[in-house]
Amino acid sequence: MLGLRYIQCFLLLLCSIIVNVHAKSAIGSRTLIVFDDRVDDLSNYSNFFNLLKDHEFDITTLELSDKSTKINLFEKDTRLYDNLILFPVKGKLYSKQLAAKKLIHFNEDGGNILALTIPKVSSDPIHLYLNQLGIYPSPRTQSLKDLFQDSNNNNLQFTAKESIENKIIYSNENAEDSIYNFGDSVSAALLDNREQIIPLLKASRTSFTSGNKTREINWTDGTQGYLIAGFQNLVNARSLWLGSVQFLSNEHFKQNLDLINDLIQWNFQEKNIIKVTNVNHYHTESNLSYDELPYKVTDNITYTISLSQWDGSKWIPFITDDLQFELRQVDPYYRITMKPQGVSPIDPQAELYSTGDFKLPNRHGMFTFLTNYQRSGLSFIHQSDVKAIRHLANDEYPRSFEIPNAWVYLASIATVIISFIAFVLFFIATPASVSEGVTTAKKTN
Amino acid sequence: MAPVIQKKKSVASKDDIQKDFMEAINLSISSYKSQVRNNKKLRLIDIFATMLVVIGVFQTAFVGLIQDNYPFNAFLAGFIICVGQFVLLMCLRLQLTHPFEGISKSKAFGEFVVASLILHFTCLHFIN
Repeated sequence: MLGLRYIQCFLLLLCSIIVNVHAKSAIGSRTLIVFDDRVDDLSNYSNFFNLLKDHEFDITTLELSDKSTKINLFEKDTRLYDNLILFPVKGKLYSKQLAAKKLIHFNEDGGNILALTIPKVSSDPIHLYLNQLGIYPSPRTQSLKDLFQDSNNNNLQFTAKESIENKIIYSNENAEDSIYNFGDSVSAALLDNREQIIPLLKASRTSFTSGNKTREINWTDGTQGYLIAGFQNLVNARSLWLGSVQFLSNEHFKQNLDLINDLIQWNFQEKNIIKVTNVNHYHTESNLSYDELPYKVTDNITYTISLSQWDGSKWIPFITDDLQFELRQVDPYYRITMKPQGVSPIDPQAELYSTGDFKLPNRHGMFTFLTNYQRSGLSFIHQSDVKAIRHLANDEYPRSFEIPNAWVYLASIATVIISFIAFVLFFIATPASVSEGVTTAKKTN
Repeated sequence: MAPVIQKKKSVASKDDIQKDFMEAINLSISSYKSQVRNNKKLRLIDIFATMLVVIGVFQTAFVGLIQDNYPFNAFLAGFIICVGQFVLLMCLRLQLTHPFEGISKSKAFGEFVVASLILHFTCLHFIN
């Protein structure tokens, strides 16, 4: 295992020396772009594709206006692509090939999906997929409007300060007043309140979604609606939904560049990737592991975990102050915030966290040593280890003479026994005037 | 007899009741004294019994005082040895004053000693 890690480390080092340019995805770079020429001309997005190429994505494009095109995401259960970019697709022809089930399968297998919708066309498969995730984009013809924005070309603009929801993904902290342009054809979505959904950019307070028909009910009102939302499933594959295609177009590219960059980096797993490299727990005094000396109640235990983070080219230590450890048996008996201890001595790419010394509860049974670190934007970490904690053996309880409280009772017993012996001696020694006494007693009675 | 007493009671004032009560107490004290006067063994038994009661009460008070019964087995051992010894003593006393048929007083005493030893043995093990 260790040898493997060294090889991996060496390979990474080699790669970083050879390549040494842009950030890279932690999982892979095979990217498929699905688009429909009838909806939009792909040449409008050349800057975006150049950005992808800068990120070293290996791009394959699939044009769907030709009806004979086949979309194969898998070949014999092997995933062919790591990332999938879905531009809006017209018509129902591809609802089978891009069925929500297939997309979810792709996502669950570890593939990342970037899905785009626009109000102009109803790309059913994409909508169905997003609905499965809990993202509900506005239906066809309903588009986002904001009558308070004084622009002459109907372009919707949002400032980072007001609209950006997730500061983990949005890295550009300095430019809080930067403005992002979403163009004039924008769909907004309602979001489910699932833990996996990561709201990224919400609509402005004065915006609303409305359709062409006058009596149609608005899909969203004000900050209800979202324009960008992420979704990270339980195997840490990521999906991203963008409510506007023009957001990526050459026209607005320069203005939106830093946000697009952040989104791509997050979506295609170039950043905010963390992993557990090593988990350990042991007796604090003797450093013996569970296998060497099983735990019993009220033992002193230390739990450590090492976390690494992908910085775009290599794994580096991940430092945070809100990592918690739980010792649970149905309910948590402990919830300890772990302290970073510096770089792990075993693995220089990871940060070591330790709970410090803690005492196991006075309760035996199966306990879970759990680190459940789930922050929206970061990879989910769920590291659990179930161990049995035994009760005391009959000769491990403290003897009563070791307990100060019990000295009182010991003294009482000693007194009783000594006085009993004295009593017996006196009883034998006293002259037997018994018969007389008894007779007198009987007489008085 | 009974109706007469009832009549008396209904008429009797509080003082009368107190008087009767005092009379009964005095009577039992004097009978006790006369019982014990010539019998040193009975006196010895009673002294020992009193001592056991004092020790038992002391331990209970200790538990109440520290608001904790932590080595509960130790408390139980200490308390039970008092109660058990007291019961055995009372049995012995009963046999001295009113001997059972076929059991001599020395045999009763022997049984008392054996039973006490078993009790002590048990309690010592219980407190470990």
